[in-house]
Amino acid sequence: MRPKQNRPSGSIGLRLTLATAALLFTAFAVVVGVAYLATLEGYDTEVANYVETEIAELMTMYTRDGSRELVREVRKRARSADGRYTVYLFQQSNGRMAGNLERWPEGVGDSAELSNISMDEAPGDYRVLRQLRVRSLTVGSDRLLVGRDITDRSTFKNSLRIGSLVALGIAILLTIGAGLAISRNVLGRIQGMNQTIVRIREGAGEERVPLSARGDEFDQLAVQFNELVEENRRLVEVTREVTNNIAHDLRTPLARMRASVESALAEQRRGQTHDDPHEGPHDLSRIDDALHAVLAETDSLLETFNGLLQLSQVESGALRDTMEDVSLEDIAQAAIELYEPLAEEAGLELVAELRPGLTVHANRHLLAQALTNLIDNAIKYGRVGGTIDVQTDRSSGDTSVDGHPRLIVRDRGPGIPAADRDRVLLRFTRLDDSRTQPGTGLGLSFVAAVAELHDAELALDDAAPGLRITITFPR
Amino acid sequence: MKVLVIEDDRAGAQFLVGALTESGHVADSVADGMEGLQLASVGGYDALIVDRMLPSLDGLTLIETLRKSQSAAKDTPVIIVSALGEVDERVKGLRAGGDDYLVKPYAFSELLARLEVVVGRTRGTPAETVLRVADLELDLLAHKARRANRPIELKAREFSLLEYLIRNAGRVVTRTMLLESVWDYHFDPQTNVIDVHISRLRRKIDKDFDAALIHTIRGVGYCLRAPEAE
Repeated sequence: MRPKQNRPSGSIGLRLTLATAALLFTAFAVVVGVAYLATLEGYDTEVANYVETEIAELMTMYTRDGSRELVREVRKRARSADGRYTVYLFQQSNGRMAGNLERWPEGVGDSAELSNISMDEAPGDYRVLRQLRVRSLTVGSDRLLVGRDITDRSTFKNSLRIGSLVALGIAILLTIGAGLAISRNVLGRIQGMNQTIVRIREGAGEERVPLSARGDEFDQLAVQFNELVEENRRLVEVTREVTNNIAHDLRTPLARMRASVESALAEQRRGQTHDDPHEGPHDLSRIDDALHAVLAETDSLLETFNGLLQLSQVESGALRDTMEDVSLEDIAQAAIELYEPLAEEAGLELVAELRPGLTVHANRHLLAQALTNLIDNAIKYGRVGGTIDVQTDRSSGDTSVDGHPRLIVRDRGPGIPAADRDRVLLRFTRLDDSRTQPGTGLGLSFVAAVAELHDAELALDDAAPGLRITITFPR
Repeated sequence: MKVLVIEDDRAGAQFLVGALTESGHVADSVADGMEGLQLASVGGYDALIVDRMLPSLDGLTLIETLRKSQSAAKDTPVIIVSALGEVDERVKGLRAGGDDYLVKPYAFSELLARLEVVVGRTRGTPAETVLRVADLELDLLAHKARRANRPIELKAREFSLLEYLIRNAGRVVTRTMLLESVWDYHFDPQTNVIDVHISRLRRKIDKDFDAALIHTIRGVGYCLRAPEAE
């Protein structure tokens, strides 16, 4: 079942945009709000400090120098440049007043804490409404008031508010933009990936998810995905090739069997119709030949099936617990002793170079079988007059697997082209497409499976001339 | 010889009984594990052919039970035949008390050769140190071979090969039997390597003499036997 494509209800685009915008906006609003409040708070604190300092200074003066001096000082301060923003009023018990306020404001007690008041004033031919922040203090029978004109505070507050709102407005635009950009970037790449996948599933097997130059998480995801697709494609190809090979390898003997049976039946009919006594034995020998041919083909088919079964058994890894410490030298020695006469017959020399004392953790039967497969191949494909080297040793310094036991079989034949070296490990792969050499075509697959079972590394390389196959064991 | 076939595949059992009879042996067959055990315990058989998967009692348990019993027939040679061909299955079979293990499908000639060997084996070969067939002598202690008193140079495996042939002199041995006993290989190398070994061995022990001792049995294997008296 193919999932439905492009479902808008399931899209995370809008949600992602809104969520990103909301998050950014909230963060921005908090910053602006804090700045706004902190600025106002700073203003108020400054006013309060100023008023407190002034009133404390005047009080000290009054205590030290008396009311006359205070009157003078208040007048002086009220006339100063700063006096425009600072209000002073010293009212003595006899009603005399000094300062820059025309009267004691209503609602302010004799000894009031800092508070805000509004005051009507008519300094000339106009009236103003002043916003003041004042503090008063009773000194003996007199009273003192100091305040600060905060009429500007509301103007300041308004500008601050407008500024903040403008900032927030810009923030909204920016965050929506950022949200859109992020979601477009993220979603765009997801959608791109999605569309590529759809196309690949629809048959565009060569297509891959494009990578950006950034190497970010999306690129890593794309790389992983591309490798998965590549692996998948490879498996499909392998399966196809293996299936073709199986079909070919099974059809050929079956066809030959069918032909043999047919000719035997024809021969039998001929024997029945021409009741010639001289032809009898002749017919029977032909039938006999046909039956032997069928038997031989059956055996070869069985061999192939057994090989396949054994291969999948080895590949399943079920035989891991049958492993023991095995001497590589013994395994190699036995195989060499088995094949040495055959090699000689084929005009080849088996040369053993076995380092004693190498043990590997292995299933001895599988290892022996794998080695005989390799030697068998080397004899089949080796060059007449050449040698086949069977070697056991430890790997030397130039590889990452330093000092691991190795089993090497090398022939001087034509070798295997580099491009085919992976393919020959597949079931039923034979490089001679005519398939003239006997064999099941499972030999190297089996070797590869045995190597895999033993966590060993199988390498095929050019021995110039010839093929060198190396199995490097994990310890 | 008299053989009991314990096998639940009727067609297979019928074929075996027919083929054994044709080879001059007497064969009975039974399809059930319990019945097979009872019949085997009664005795009178020279060998048992036991399938592993049987109704009521599986083949391995049957063999184990027989081996542990007090029956006079408890040591009857057993060949296990099974579709389970993996090396570890084979080991299980031999551990249960089987004398040989043959994977289905097999050639009847292979089974017959193995039957004769397991039956011959248990009849007991005293611990001889020198084996002789006609004028061929094999000194097991000195690891030396002689024919007509002429020493023959043999490599280690050739010696083992010849020893196996002499121990089974007069009986047919198959290529897989040789691979199993001389190399401990329980698989079939794709090429027929054994033939080359035999022809080498022939060159050493038969070539310079009038009467050949090693005979090829077409489609089955080899047989080492003394030349028939003229």
